[in-house]
Amino acid sequence: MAIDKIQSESINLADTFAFTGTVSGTPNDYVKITETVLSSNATYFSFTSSGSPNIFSSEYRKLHFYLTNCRGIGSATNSHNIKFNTSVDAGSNYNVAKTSCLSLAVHNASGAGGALTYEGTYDSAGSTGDINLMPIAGANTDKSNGLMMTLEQPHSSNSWKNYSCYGSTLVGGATSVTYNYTLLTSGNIQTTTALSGIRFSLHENGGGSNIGVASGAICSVYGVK
Amino acid sequence: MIIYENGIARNMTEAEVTAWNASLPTAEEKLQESLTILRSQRNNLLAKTDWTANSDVTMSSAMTTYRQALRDATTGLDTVEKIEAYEFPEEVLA
Repeated sequence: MAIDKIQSESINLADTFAFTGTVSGTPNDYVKITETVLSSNATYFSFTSSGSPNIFSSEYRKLHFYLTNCRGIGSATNSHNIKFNTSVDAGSNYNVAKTSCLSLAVHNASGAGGALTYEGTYDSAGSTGDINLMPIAGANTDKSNGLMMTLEQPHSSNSWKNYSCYGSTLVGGATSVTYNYTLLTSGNIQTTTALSGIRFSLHENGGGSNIGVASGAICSVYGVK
Repeated sequence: MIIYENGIARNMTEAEVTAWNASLPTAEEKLQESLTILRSQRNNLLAKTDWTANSDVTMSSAMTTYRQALRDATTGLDTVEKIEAYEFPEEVLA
């Protein structure tokens, strides 16, 4: 008869056990697939179906991208803008049409400026370009930001792909007042072809020409099976 | 130009550089984006003082001048550099 229970008194919990069997009955439907940590500045970072492991494998019906410390290269005066785009040819072209909506809540450290708005400036309608996830991201090194993006059924060959994103950032105001922004965006990636590439990039707002992701950015990718 | 693909840093291919550059906004698009952001900031500042235009409130001359300056904020701003250099008038609260 298989042992189905052990008493902690009967084993030395400080020992190291070389387990070679198979664990069953434990939840493994939410897994960390991969992680990218930038050790140098980059134009953008991406994940494609040629990666190992492949985040676009059909075993994942939903992907979560956790972006941490994603700062732009360039002026600390202007805020930065985190964008994304997708590919259906393993990253050769990032040009899938997308439609999105975007809203934000804002409040400053002086207790003023509270607002909840829809941001028509930053939404998109059928755009094939890189579109906004976090259009106002703090540029100073002491202004943190982070976001989580959910991508639904990226491998589907039947339906468009929904995505949603929640993020929070701090931005230094013109009078040095710190503004906290909560950004919510969602949209559709308008293709029934399976996705095979996604990229994230940073752009300087205010018309600045500096574009790129600063060293230290982290992107962790989790899959829901 | 460096990119990280699947966690590995590498130089972009010529085709990737060409495609990337083609995806970036034109100078006119950057100008319009900058103007849109500035107008949004200006509108927020105006909204904060809208109460002074109520019929049962007498607007001070300082407020009248301030609000007109906000409305004129984008006048003459025809380059990104001018927009970046622009400073809103000192805030008037009443």
